[in-house]
Amino acid sequence: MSPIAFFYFAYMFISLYFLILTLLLYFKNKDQIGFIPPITKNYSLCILVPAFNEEKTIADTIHAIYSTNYNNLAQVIVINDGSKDNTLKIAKSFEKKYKNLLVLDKNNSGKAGSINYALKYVKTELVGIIDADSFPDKEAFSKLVGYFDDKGVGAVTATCVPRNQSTFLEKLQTIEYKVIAFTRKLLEFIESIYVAPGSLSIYRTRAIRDIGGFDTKNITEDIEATWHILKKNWKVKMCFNAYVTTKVPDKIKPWFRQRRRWALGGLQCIEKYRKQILRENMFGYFVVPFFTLGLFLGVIGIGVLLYLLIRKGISYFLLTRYSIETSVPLVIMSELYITPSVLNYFGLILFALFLVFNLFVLGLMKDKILGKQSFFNLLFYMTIYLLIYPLVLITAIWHYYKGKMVWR
Amino acid sequence: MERKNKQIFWEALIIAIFIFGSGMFFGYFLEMGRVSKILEVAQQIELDLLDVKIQDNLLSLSEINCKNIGEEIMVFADRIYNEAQTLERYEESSQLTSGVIMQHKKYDLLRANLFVNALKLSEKCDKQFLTLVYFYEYDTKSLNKKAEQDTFSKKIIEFKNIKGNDVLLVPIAGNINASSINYLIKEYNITSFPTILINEVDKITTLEGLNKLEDY
Repeated sequence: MSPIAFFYFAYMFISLYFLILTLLLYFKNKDQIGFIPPITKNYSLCILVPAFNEEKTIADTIHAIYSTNYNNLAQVIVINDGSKDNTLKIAKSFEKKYKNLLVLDKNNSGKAGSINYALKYVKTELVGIIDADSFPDKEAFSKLVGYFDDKGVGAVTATCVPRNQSTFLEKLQTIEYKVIAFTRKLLEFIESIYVAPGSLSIYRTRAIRDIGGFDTKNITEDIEATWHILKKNWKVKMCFNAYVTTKVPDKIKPWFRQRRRWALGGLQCIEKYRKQILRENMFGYFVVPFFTLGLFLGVIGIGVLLYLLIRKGISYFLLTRYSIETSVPLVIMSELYITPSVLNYFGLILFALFLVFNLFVLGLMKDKILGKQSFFNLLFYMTIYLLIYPLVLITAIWHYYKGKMVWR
Repeated sequence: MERKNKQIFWEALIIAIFIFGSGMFFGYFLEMGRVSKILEVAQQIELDLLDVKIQDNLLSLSEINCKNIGEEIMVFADRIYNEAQTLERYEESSQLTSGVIMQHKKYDLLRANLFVNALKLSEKCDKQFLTLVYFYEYDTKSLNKKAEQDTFSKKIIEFKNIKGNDVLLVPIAGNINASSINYLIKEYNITSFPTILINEVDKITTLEGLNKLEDY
């Protein structure tokens, strides 16, 4: 067996393993996926909204927060992180309307710095963090706080879906967000939710203080904070039925930058927590290795793919050149045949399994994905869209190597 | 973590191994199926070998019907050429088994034998057809050589399609380490692959030289 074939088989085995793990998690816990814990205690909640140049969305975000039905929303703090637009002015305009709204203004120091700055003002038992371009559902907080009855829970997050779903890129991201939300919920059952995203997560204030606040050096502070919380043996939960919508990039360039930032932050986290691998708890035994393996497979996968494509490209180039030079037809009839190899069959079967899995997840989330257009979107998502990820990863590694830890 | 979820990693591993193993098993049998089809052809090779030996014996006789034997050699050459093409297709897609690759050698030896018979025929009778022996490097790793060989291969197929039974086409892998083939390579001073040996005398070794085929 050639090394390429061996790698291909290994890649497929690992993919199959994680697919089966996900399915087992679903079938063993399906009655608990939609679970919403009842509110037995009226936890006081403070919501932090770090904002940098968010004049287009900040008003709607504040409005959405105050439209929720949780009855002990003690305070909302908007932190203007040195915005150069009208974010501060718009946020300030709400202070008269909402008496427990506090708008802080500070020099730009990044999202983590803004949250840490605001944490000094937090007096409540729970603290929620919401991006200034995210919009919690009316019942979102009420559905999340019940999880804190378990004293070991440090953070709880919600299902996040794109608010803008009209363009092709937005539709692809909608598929992606839904699949991620589903698998993230399943990971809860093995205590391995690896991120409580900034779109909406509620933390036990004590847990945040326990980790010393957010890491200002990490450009995905939400991933880092979640890892730190897990490392400290706090649990991270997710309420599948609590929703938050967020504005997703509608153009390729900002989309690519956002994903590169996520990948860069992931690399920073792996670097920071690499010594935890195979240590202490599920964080060490699963989360960090899982993340690292994903990174490794992504890079090696794209490396092998590029190698094969380049070889194929050179072959075609040479053959075309020689065929033209010698007036020989480029393709002859006797060459037009298909004899699929075992690798082709394996790839096809695995693709079909993942397709069924994605259809199942989207069906579960009430998507009419079987329409022609939607089905095309799903196929595009599974082939082209996901294939771009390793490229994002490679540019992230390059940026990481060069020390370019930039937010945008 | 709940008890039911504690074992899930092992359960997933066992199921994955089972499914993947079944897939490998299926894959192995798929390829073995192809090998067995080839083995059917291989049984044919045994007959072909016998056939070629009888041809050989016939050629030793003092009186032979040159025309008939010449035609038979041509039909035989075309048939084993087509069989070998099927073999190559299976060989290219083979990942788990080496059985297909083994058959390749047999075909090369068969074709070498056929070439020798064609030589004997040309000694006994008037030359009935153009003999075109194509020596190439089997399983070459060089992209440049592969492209060169593909171009050579297309050119000679095109030539054969035009000339039909006026050309006896005998492709032989020159690097399979078979003593008879090594002897032929030395005898005709084949120093590089690909090389086309025309009527045991002329040689084409470069892409530029391929156009010389049109002179025949």
